[in-house]
Amino acid sequence: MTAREDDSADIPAEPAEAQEPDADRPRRRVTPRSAVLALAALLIGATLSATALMIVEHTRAAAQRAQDSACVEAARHGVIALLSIDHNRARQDVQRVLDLSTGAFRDDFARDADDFVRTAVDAQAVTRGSVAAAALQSIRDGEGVVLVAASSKVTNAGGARADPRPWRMSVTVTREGDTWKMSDVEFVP
Amino acid sequence: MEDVGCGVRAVSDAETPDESATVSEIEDATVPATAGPRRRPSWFRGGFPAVAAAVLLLASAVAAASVYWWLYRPDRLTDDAAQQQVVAAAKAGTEAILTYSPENLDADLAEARSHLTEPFLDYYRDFTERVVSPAARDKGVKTEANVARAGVSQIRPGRAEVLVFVNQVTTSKDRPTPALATSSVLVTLVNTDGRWLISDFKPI
Repeated sequence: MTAREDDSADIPAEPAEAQEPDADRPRRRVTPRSAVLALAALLIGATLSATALMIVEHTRAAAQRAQDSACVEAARHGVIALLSIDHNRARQDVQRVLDLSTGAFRDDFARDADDFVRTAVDAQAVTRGSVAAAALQSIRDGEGVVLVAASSKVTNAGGARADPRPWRMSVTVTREGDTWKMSDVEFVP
Repeated sequence: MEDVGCGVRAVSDAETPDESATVSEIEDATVPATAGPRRRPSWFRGGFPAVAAAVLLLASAVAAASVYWWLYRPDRLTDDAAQQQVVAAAKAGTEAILTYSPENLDADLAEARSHLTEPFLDYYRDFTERVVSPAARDKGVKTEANVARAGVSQIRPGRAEVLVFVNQVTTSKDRPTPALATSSVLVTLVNTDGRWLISDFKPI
């Protein structure tokens, strides 16, 4: 027993030296390698996730910018229409303003449309509007406020031309389906 | 050598089947490990995943860096917070440029200059020397501006245009009754070291 114990103590001592490196070598080799690979996989996963999140965020920001500029463009077009009335086609011009409007502003303008047309025809006037600059003041939940620096030039029946008159306007624009329309127009004194 | 021989002998004497099994196990474990998988893995089984991982890691890092630099960062530099900063800077700068009084002229002009950068700063220096200072000193021109409304007309990283509606009240020795003037100004700002400074100021 003691001899065997001694022997068995001896025997494992030798093979153990030979065995340990052999048995452990594959494990020891695989372990750091797989650890590195796992770390790499983790890093790749994290990097790709971060990239995906940034792209999602960029998509949102791009949609917001598209919305902002659609809102400003609607105000710009609306103001030009509002300031451009030709007595020769006053009814179409007024209709164009109505097409670009919605809500309370449209209701008000529609109510006064006949007077508006009559005045334009009586005065034999042609007014032409232009926008020098437009800027988004605020936008939220499908409603934006756009500041418009515009001017209008009037030519009357006698051919007299007035100097361009500057206007500072604050236009509220409301989203209606895919389009934006003027829902309030305020002249900033 | 002798010890090993002894040991093997002793084992083969006592537990031959067990020990031979262990030896063959050892050989099974060692031989294929050294001859078989160990030579190939070093450049195929071990090398391929490592190279693939390195390439993927590099590719995903490049993708992330590109998306950050070309998409995410410009978005952040033009987001709502940036727009609020730009508008605030445009308001403060506009009011500073258009507000001065004879009693406090040098300080007022210095305050205005602190909101400006080239090329407008140059123009402003010249204009205040030639026009504003003489008018304030000789004619007692005093003016105070406030921005009624302001909005972002255009913004991209580091550069923005803000439309401001300005109301300005002016008095002078000749005209002591306050006169209100309204105007619209397109203010261009550039971001310099984290501050938005006015680089152009165009009444429209």
